[in-house]
Amino acid sequence: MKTSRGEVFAQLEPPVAGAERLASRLASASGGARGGALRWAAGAAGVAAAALALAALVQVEGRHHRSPPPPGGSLYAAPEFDRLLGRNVEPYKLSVSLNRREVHVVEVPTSDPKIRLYALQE
Amino acid sequence: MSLGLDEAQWIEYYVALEKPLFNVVYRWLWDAEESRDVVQDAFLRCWKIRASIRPDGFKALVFRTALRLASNRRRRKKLWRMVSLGEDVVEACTPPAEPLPRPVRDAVDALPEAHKRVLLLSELAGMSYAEIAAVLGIKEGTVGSRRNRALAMLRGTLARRGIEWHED
Repeated sequence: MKTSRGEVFAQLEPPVAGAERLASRLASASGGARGGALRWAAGAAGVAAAALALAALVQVEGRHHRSPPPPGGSLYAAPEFDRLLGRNVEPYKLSVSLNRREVHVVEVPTSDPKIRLYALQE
Repeated sequence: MSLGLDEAQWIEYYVALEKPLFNVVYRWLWDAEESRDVVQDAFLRCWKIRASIRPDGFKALVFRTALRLASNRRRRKKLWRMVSLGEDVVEACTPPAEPLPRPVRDAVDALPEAHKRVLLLSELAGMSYAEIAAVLGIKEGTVGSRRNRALAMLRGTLARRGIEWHED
């Protein structure tokens, strides 16, 4: 058996109508891209509408719940939360027991109103 | 400057490059319809990124894309043969009229991919060493050595199978 360079590397003709086929594929690819852009725009509009609706809902709900009724329970009434809940801070009556005997507590004046010093008098 | 964005202009590029591309890809897949599809797939892929392709890099890009697609498809075909149909069934489905005798095809198939790419681009696409180097991303010197090595391997394989090689 014999072969030659010319035979192995012979230039074969591609199947006919390749250009027409490619033109049709390019057209559908372009159409697909345009359709994809339209689908993307529709999707984006949908997301924007949903976001607007959600924002409106949150605003309406927020208006309804702007002044919530104070919950019951001792935790809410605890004086430790006065400052946090915006209530007026009432002076707290301090009492100290020492060896199971109540001792007298005297507040010592300070120059800084945020600092309170107490002296215990037996 | 980017490549023409017009579909008609793109078809002109295709007409100019279809035959060499088809011949290179055909030596990979040995199926005319499939090879034509791969060539068109390469053009479609390039079409999608046409705005970013420089005119001087288009030919290399489309050949590189076609070679990669052909290589992937060939690998999938091999795998498919292994896991599903027997070789006999596939052969029975193949059209009988083949432009190259089976032993010659097998000898081309037996070449390592890196060498085969260089040889096919050189012999079938008529590319210069510089053009092949641009397609494959290798040095021109490597192109020359791989081409010579590929030809020697091809001749050797054919000789071992009792096929006489003529240079004409």
